Amino acid sequence: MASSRMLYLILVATVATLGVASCVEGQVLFSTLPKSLVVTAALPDGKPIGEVKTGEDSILVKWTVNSTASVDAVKLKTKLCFASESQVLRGWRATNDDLKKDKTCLYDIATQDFSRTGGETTYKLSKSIPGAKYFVRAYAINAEGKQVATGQTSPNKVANTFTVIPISGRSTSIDIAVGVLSIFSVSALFGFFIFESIYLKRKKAV
Amino acid sequence: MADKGGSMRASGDVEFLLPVDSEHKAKVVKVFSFAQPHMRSFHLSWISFFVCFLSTFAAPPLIPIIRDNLNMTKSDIGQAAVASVSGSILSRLMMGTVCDLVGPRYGSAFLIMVNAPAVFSMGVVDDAEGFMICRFFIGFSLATFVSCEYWVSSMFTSKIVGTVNGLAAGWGNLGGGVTQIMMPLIFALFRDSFHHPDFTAWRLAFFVPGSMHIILGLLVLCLGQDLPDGDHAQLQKQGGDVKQGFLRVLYFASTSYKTWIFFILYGYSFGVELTVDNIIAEYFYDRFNLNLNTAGLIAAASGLMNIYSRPAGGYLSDVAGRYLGMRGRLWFLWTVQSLGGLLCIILGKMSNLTGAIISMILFSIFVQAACGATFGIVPFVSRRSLGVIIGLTAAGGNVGSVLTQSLFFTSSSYHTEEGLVYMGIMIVCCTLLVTLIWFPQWGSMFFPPSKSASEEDYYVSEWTAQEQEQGLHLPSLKFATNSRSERGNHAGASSSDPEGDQPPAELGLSMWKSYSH
Repeated sequence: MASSRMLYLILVATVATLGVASCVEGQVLFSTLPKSLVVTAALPDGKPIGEVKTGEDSILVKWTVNSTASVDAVKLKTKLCFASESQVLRGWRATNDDLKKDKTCLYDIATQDFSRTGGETTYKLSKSIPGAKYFVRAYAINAEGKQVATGQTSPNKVANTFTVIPISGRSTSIDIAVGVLSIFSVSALFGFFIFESIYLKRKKAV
Repeated sequence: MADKGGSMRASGDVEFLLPVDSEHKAKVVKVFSFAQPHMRSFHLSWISFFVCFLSTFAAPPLIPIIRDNLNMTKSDIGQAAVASVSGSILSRLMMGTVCDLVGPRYGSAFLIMVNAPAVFSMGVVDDAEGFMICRFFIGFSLATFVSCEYWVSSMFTSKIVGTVNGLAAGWGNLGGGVTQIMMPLIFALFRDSFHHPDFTAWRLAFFVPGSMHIILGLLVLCLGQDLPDGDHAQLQKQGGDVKQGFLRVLYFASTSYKTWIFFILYGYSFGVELTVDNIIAEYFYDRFNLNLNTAGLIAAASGLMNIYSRPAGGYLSDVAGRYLGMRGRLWFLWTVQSLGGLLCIILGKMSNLTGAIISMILFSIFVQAACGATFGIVPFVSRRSLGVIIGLTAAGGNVGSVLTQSLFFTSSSYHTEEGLVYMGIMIVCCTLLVTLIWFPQWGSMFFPPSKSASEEDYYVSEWTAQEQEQGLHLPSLKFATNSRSERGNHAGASSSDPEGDQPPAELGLSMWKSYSH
């Protein structure tokens, strides 16, 4: 039948297009990126970071370009990345050399214009950042949106990492609401049971 | 069958909105009606089961947020998922007895409303252990499957009870799919419109399924009715129900090897469906880099197939039974469940999104049809111990889910996609057990029936000589006569009206034969 053939062709075409589309973009491998950027992270008053709280504290991120390197970039992105010990047993934070699949750096700090003299940014930690150990990494991005250079505060994802203390997400009003609704549910049930057996007894007595 | 209804009302004959049989059970099911008592009870029972599925699988689509809030590892997540389906193993076994004692209306209302605090408590958990305990207790509510089937079987006549059971169970299972869409949307509402941080928004989202528990519980209590003629308690006081020797019923159920084969088999159709409900949203979120809403939408497609695939499985099993007898039903079950296993292997191997979605949808259709087909055969394993066998099979489904989740989706030593491949292989291997099911009167997949066996012998042998003298075996005898349709070659001809059937006296001689089944 003509219509079913048409449908079949459309299905094949869709699958083929999607298959092709998935391998269009080129791969950027982290190991091939030159380590031309120097990044430091500290508290806004200059002291080294030990622990910071999300929603309250800020960190000051400074970056410069290594004097011997030549970097052809337009933008500079700084990101918050997981230290090795926070990636253990958590496959959704795994490191992958292909930057399209890499999940080490899931939280953006800032995107700034690139400049050879360097720059800095103060970042107030967002409340959605989970509790873990982190370091800061910077990527230099060229006009096509690809990473061309990188640098990070921790040499091996173990040393020079800092702890972020998260919010719990709980609040007193939630606790109270949970208590009230739970008590209501159980008492409504037993109240109904008691009420109905009294009603039935009264009906039988009549 | 004595007319139980007439004595209740002083005026005599009762008007029902649907055609009924002599027990006042409805002969037809009108899905868009809310007529009291049959259709209203049908809707209340499947919607209660739906809400329980909704809350049991409310956590999985939000796992990417919860795992960060509670600092969970992969094994923490896996253990919580196992806990969510293991609680109901015991509760499903107990629910049959509870329904016998207090009726399905109180049974399901009790379970739903006592379970509501567990759903609300998700809002106050602080760590992985608390999360696991919460999911364990919420999982108890899946026992509403038993009260749903019990209630529906009390309201609808035996000819359509299979279809109605398939509809109620299938639409109840939809909850597992709808929740994957609903929870991310509610989470987004609290986060974007009400400006709560992520870690608070997911806690607030759990108030929605919790409130649904309370509302449904109240509706069931106010609008529900256990039996066509009234409530369980009222009829009990008038001696309306027949009590059975519970231990004897349990004995006949547990000594039949077929019960245990179905205990295992259902674990690889329904159990696997529960496992996929638990892991698939996180799988799509992580492997294909989708956002929470999209991953939830795709995961929901799996559960939503239940709207027709489980009833279709039951219906096609009936068709196979009509033309090829019990042998046809067994071949249908084996084929459909094995295909489900193959598609699970393919799902694990797919590394592109489109292929993964298509294979997941096909996998869900076949596995859910296998669930429906299983309950096309289970009612024939025993007539006397039907309730216990249904409870055991249902519990086996959960055991299968516990097993597959612990084995394949909890340890960090292999990725989720490898776990799916291994699970598919396990499904195909365990489905081979269908070849071992042999009915003396109908045969098995490969072997013919025994020449001296008959349906009456098979079902009546479950009653002791003493009980047969008292005539307690007569309902089984009626069922046996009607079950002759499982011999096959009855295309188009419907079985005779069970009400008009009077078993001939000669059949009494076969009472004394004993069978091991």
